[in-house]
Amino acid sequence: MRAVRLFLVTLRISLQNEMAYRTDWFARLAQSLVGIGTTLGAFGIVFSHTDSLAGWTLDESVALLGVFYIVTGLIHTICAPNMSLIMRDVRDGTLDFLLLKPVNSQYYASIRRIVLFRMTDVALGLIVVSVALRRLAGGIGAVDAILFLVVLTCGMIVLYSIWLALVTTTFWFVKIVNIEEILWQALEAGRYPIDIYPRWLQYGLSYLIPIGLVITVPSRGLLGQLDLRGVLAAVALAAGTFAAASAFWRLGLRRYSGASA
Amino acid sequence: MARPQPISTGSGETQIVVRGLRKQYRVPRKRAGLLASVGSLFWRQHKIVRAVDGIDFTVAPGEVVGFLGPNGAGKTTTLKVLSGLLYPTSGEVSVLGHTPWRRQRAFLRSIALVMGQRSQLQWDIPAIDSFTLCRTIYDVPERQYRETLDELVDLLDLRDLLTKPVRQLSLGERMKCELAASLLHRPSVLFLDEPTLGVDVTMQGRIRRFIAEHNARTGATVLLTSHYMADVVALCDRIIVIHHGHLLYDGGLAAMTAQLAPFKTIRVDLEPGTVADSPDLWHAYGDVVDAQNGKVSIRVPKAAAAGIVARILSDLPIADLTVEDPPIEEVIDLVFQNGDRADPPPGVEAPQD
Amino acid sequence: MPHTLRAYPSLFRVAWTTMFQYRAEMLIWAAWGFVHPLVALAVWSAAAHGRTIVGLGRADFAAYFLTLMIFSHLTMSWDAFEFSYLVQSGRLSPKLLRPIHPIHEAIAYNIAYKLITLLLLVPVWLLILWALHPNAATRAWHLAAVVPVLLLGAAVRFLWNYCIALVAFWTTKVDAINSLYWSFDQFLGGRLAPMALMPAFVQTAAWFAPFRSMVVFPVEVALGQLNGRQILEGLAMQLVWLVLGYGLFRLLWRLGIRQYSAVGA
Repeated sequence: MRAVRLFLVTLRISLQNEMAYRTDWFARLAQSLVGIGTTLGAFGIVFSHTDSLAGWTLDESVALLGVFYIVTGLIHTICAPNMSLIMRDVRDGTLDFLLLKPVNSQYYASIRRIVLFRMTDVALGLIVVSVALRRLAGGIGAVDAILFLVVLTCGMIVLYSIWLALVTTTFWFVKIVNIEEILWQALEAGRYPIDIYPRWLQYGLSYLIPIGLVITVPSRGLLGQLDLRGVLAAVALAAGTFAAASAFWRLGLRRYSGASA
Repeated sequence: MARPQPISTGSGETQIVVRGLRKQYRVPRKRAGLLASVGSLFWRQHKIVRAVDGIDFTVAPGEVVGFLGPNGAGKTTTLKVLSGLLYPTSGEVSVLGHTPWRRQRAFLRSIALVMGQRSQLQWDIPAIDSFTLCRTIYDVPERQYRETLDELVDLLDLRDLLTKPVRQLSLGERMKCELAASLLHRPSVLFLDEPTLGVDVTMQGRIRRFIAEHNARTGATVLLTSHYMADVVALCDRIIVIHHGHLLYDGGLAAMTAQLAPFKTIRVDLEPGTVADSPDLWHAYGDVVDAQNGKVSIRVPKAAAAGIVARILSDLPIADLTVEDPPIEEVIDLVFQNGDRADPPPGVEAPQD
Repeated sequence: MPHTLRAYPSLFRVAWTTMFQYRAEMLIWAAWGFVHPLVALAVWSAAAHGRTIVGLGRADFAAYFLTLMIFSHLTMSWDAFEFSYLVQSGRLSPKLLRPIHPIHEAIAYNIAYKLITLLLLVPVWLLILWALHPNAATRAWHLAAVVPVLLLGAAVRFLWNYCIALVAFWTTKVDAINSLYWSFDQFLGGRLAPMALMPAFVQTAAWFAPFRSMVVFPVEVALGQLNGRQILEGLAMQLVWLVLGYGLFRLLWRLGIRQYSAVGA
């Protein structure tokens, strides 16, 4: 319960922090719109020369683009800000304060800052998804919607775990300030269905940095192309990577505290 | 030179026990030049730095202990081990019956660490909101929080500061808020690392008074490091001097002067019109510290002080003469100089790999 | 001007030493240069799917996007991001006090960045080239022509990017303007697809913006897609955009400095 209360307090404080910079909101919204517009334009050009992209029609690809914006919006809202805060804290030595708090350090380190206005990206993504779905089949069934949410949640947990693991390497390599860019670069590949990539890259994007699991697989769920076995696999993978990332985080903390020196 | 342990206290109990504490760091050896920097991509030489090299002490509940030492002496490292941020290389440490670096909740709830150069307050929002966060984190009951906050607001004079964004506060004002944030959960052990660093003199005084009052009222144990002698003189009944990771002195302030500085300072005001403030003249009596405008101060061995005073009074036209213990700053300087001679420089061992 | 030129060796030395400190970061930034062209290549390969689109097959797309990737790195400039930081953090002021224009420092850093990253990128490029079997009609004289065309492309891109950077004098919301600039580059600069696949109106519009002169034109020269006359026309276009960019830069700089000193940053 204390965990929930802590989350609500950080949410309130984050909102206050944002109010200090609220004038940026329209510029950011414009930026998101330009980004979506550009990709939709690219889709328009590609699909003027073909009917299907590795089995995905235009509307299906647009639905996937919506999921892409939902996922990246959520990352911008809660994952990325906290992860870069951890890296800053390790660099400046302010992580000490976090470690001295009588709360689970990984939990608190992951919820300290919430950039709420990035939820506009999520909202834009939802609009894109619903437009695409309406054009496709006139909507989505309840079962598919639930499967979609389950797989999406699993995907987000996997991505968070990988992100945390990458940021935890800062305990060893303090100097590299932009290591997260690697994840943004991988995510960029998820703007299109991973089926368009060569086989080896598909494996990489499914298992190594599972962008496929985060974006392509949930989109399949949305389109009613997902079976229960795939869902169970996603749940298992999420649990596994989360446990591994937590273990690595604790190892990193031991390193930070000089346990092995 | 360390005084034998344990320190006698009223109850005889101890709250902090440190035995044979050692902390070593392995740091890459930096070399200058472009070629060397390319070379260091492939192989690195390391050296071992012994930040803390075997120190022992105990602290009783309610004590205010000051850690003194030059930069890099090992003060902050010791404080970090005691607060649970660092694993020691070897040695035993117990704080409130806990092993600090296991960072158990019960332990963390009863300590606080304040660092002068670093802030735990959020920059863009008022301090009061950071306080709310602390209340949630430490799970402080609403009533207790109210009471503690009211007390802190009174004692630290925070009323007008709480609602301003932290970035608009002066360094001293911010430090007062940092202190308040760290005390909201009523820690029984308080670690202060350079709490007055960079703060102006008036504010230093305020912060000192607050720490003393807080200690008197709550009986919290306070361990403090500082560059400013005045902090230590004003606050601490007991001083631990660390130099190059070794414990040089542990005991009371007055006793330190007697033990570490076996000399006195004689200050003399000459009669107006006398021209006898040339240093050459005074070398015959002792080490000249200062000599100008008819005022002279010299340093003499403690045992010889009485005889020298008699000689001066008979030799020269004196308006006023005082014999003093040397200022604490001089004593500390002396301690560190002696320490330098006694010890090798911070342990540089043969390069590894 | 001779004074400025004489400053370059030391400007460059400082740039090199600073950037070498951050070599790991440099390479991570540079990896963005792989992402967009390779994603675009994957998209078009999937779209072509064993046939040709407007006469282009998989190997042609490979040649186009790989050359685009390399040339894009060689003409890369990032001042639009950097400059707003300089203005907002007040770090521009000390630079203005020096008897040398800040743009020269930016140029020195630009060159140092490319040299440092090339050490690692060239082998990777060769590896990718070997793996993807690109198809191009390149002759020796195309490669000779590519050198001046590429240098001009880099100059045009740098100047226009610097002009966008100067917008920071007037607004703090440079990011939104940057993303608009980036979006135009995607369509008019041949980033999304070879120009031949673009709708007719986009192809026409591309002649009225500097993007075409920056990367696509050098790519088309290198791939042997243009005849002598077309190359000369392209060169002329590059010169026009270079002159326009320089004029705009001078104008914006003069107005911007006035604005900057008026605000008193």
